[in-house]
Amino acid sequence: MGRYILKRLLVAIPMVLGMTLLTFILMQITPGNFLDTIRMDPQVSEETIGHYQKMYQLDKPMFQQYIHWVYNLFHLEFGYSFYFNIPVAKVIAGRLFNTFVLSLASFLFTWMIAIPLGIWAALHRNRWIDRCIQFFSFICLSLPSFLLALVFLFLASQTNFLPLGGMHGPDFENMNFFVRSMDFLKHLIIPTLALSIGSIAALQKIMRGNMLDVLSQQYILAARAKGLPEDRVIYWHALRNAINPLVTLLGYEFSGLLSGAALIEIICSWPGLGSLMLTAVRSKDIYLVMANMLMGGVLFIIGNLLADVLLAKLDPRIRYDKKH
Amino acid sequence: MTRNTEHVSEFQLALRSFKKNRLAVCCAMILFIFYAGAIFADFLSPYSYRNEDRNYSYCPPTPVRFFDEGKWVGPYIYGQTLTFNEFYRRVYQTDTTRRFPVRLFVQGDEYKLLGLIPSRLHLVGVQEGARLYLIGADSRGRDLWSRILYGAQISLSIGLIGVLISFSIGLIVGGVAGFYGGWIDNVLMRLCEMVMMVPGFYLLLALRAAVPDDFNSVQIYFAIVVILSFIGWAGLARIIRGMCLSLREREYVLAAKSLGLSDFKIILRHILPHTVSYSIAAVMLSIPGYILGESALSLIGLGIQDPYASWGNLLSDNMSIVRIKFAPWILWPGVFIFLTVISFNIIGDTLRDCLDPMMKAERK
Amino acid sequence: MQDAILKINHLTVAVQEFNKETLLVNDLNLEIPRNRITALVGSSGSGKTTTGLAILRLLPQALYMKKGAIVWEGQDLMNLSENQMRLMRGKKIGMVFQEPLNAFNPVFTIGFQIGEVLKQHTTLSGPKINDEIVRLLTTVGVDDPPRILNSYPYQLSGGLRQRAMIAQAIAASPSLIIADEPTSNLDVTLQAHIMELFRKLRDELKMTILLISHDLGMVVHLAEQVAILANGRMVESGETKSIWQHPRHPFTQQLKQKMVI
Repeated sequence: MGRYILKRLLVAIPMVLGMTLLTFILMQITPGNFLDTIRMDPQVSEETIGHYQKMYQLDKPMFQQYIHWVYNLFHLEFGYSFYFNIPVAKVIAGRLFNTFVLSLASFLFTWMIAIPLGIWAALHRNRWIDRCIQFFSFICLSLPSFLLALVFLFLASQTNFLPLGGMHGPDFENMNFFVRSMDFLKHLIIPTLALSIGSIAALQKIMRGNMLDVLSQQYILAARAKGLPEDRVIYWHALRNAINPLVTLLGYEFSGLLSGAALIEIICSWPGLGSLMLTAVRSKDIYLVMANMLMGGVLFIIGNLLADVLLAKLDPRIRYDKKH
Repeated sequence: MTRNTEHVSEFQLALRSFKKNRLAVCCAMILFIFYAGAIFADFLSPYSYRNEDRNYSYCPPTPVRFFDEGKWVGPYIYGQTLTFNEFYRRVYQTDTTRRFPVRLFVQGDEYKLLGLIPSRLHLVGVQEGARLYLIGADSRGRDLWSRILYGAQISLSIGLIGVLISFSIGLIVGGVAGFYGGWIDNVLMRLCEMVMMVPGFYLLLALRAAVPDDFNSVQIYFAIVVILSFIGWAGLARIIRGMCLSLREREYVLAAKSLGLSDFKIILRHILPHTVSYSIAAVMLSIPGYILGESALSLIGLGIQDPYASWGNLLSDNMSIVRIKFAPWILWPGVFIFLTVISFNIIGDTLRDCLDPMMKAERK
Repeated sequence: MQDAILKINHLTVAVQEFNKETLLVNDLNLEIPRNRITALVGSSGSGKTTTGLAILRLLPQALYMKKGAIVWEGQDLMNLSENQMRLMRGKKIGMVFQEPLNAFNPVFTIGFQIGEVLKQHTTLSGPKINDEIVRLLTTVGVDDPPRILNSYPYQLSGGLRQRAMIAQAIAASPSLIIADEPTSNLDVTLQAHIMELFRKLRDELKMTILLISHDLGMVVHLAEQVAILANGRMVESGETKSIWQHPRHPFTQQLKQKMVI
């Protein structure tokens, strides 16, 4: 197992670096950089601009800048943010938690609803309740999440029931812990719902399909022939097999954890990495953009690896194949 | 008794069973209507997309009346004037003294039909003095209905052009990778994975940032198309590569090889035609991605810019919370996006289902 | 004449396909004598597997029993509630499937799956269960039972898997074993071994066996009584020796010459 992981990592690292190189080149291709905005300010002297150039190494050739960046990576130095004037690591750390919470909430919500729903739909296949669920699922699948977010914000504005975006109420600092938590949760609801509904529809469909596949297998018939109670047949024998393929999905969910929420964050004014990325891209804050992309790529690799390892652990057949 | 057997391709068979599915046909008709609306947007809309009148900012939909004091008089509207109430909110007073009949085939803003023929003919309209807002006005008093029709031109075409480019690239990459296998396949698939590895939205933003700021709207349009294609080709390439890999082992390919046909001819004449049917289904299912990608970009201001309309940037008005509450009609473009996406999804799904039994039978 | 452990009376099983009712088993009458091996032979699609499943009331959803009674020790199984029927499965009637690779759950060990039967139908618990599994595996002719106990289905060879499946079927000491094409996927030597095993089950463990197969030549050495099925109907039945030597129905003759599979 260890060798397998190592091999995957060895292949993955150049891919991640390749991706960052691509990003770097893209950011460099665009005419103009951060300094242009400063140059336009007549009060800033040539000296200061020269000083900035040196500090950010903008006078060196492109390739050298990139090598320098990669070199710094190994020292866990992610560069400096031009726009915020503090190290990139600090900028990201500030927003990381917010995005993480939102993604985690949406992930948990999605899986806790979709899996039971899918199982239930499979068990009541083709009855009217199943048909209803499939119908709504299809609609929700086609609803873009940003549209959902807008509609929810609209409803919120009409009913004054939920806050309209942002992460804190205006009086946040003065609230005690309990009220603060409630306030935070209330702000979390709309973005989480907008993110989750499409995923729930998709996941439910997959779960239902897997469950139906498994239920038609011989070993389910054999389990019943052994005299096992129906509950055990379904929730132990069937479910255990139906859920295996979903584990790979888990890995992909993990990869999309930080970037999936980006658009919704921007719409709901949730101060996370998504809105950060938007600002960074707009102001051509190179190192911030690269760091974000790097994180995305790394999470993707880790997520995939996680999915593969989990699958191997759960399905003995795969373990066996890999050994040989 | 002799039977006449027609020679039908896989695709035609699938098309036949497709036609039997009423829902799918319905969706196809919806899309047809949308695209027709986009092509003839100039004629169908009462006003040009640029036609603004700040006196009618955020004017609610104008109610079209048919009866005056119980008598049928045909469709007409009243004039509206903008006033502010005590909370500085907009209130529109209706002026019931004068009727403005709603006429068909009126003369209105100038345009060029299909880009060539100058004309001033519009399907519906009213005289000067009142403005017909079928679903409301935006911040500058521009008719939202007209802008939705014009917006269709951009939103719907980006989907088609983008997918065309992606598909071409994907076809070549996937075809070569699937056909040759080995290290070529390996390298190409790693490349695909690298592109797919990047979080989609981030890549979208980063690529958009690479576009110079001084691009005009047309250039931005093409830049967006290129960006979306750049993200999308990898997925299609993988699908095609998978199909090619399995087709490669078929007997007729071996037969063609033994006859000495060049690789290129084999790919072109024997393998690719079989991928067509399944590819079309895959293409239908990926078009929504492009439409949504453009909408997302325009929504946050990085896509199509004012004064041009796209469904995405029409929605960006909604980003201000105050406006959502008092001008909810701004959400209408979203309905159109949704209908388009769901129609493509239904058509793609149905097409794939129709092809499946045939794929399964072939594999045996 | 041995008394019958199971009597099948006028069994008719149907399925609705394209608004037409097709009969998969048509008015089948069969008596299965105690402590004997009875063979049910026919080509594919003749309804023999369906009959086996009908006895256990495990027909697939699309199929239904239109008519008939299945009498077990004087009681019609069709009149039992689902819960009561479940008590019969595994404990009174066991089943051996054709392809053990598909009939074992791939994610659980053999020991776990045999253990389930013991936990469900006996009062054994803890380490006694493992002991019993080892004993069962030894009975069916497995060398090194502890290794098999901890193995997963795909890790075993075809012959071992089938033995393990038989061990699972006899775990709760049922009186009747329904074996649905137990050797069809094995090579000839293994077939002989498994047949030997069934003989052992009949003679030493005093079990009754209903052997479902398409190979008349194979069952002729083992079964005392045979019934030939074609298109859901029984065309011939009686003592195996006399049927084999003097087949009356043309279909039986075809089976004998292995012209039909």
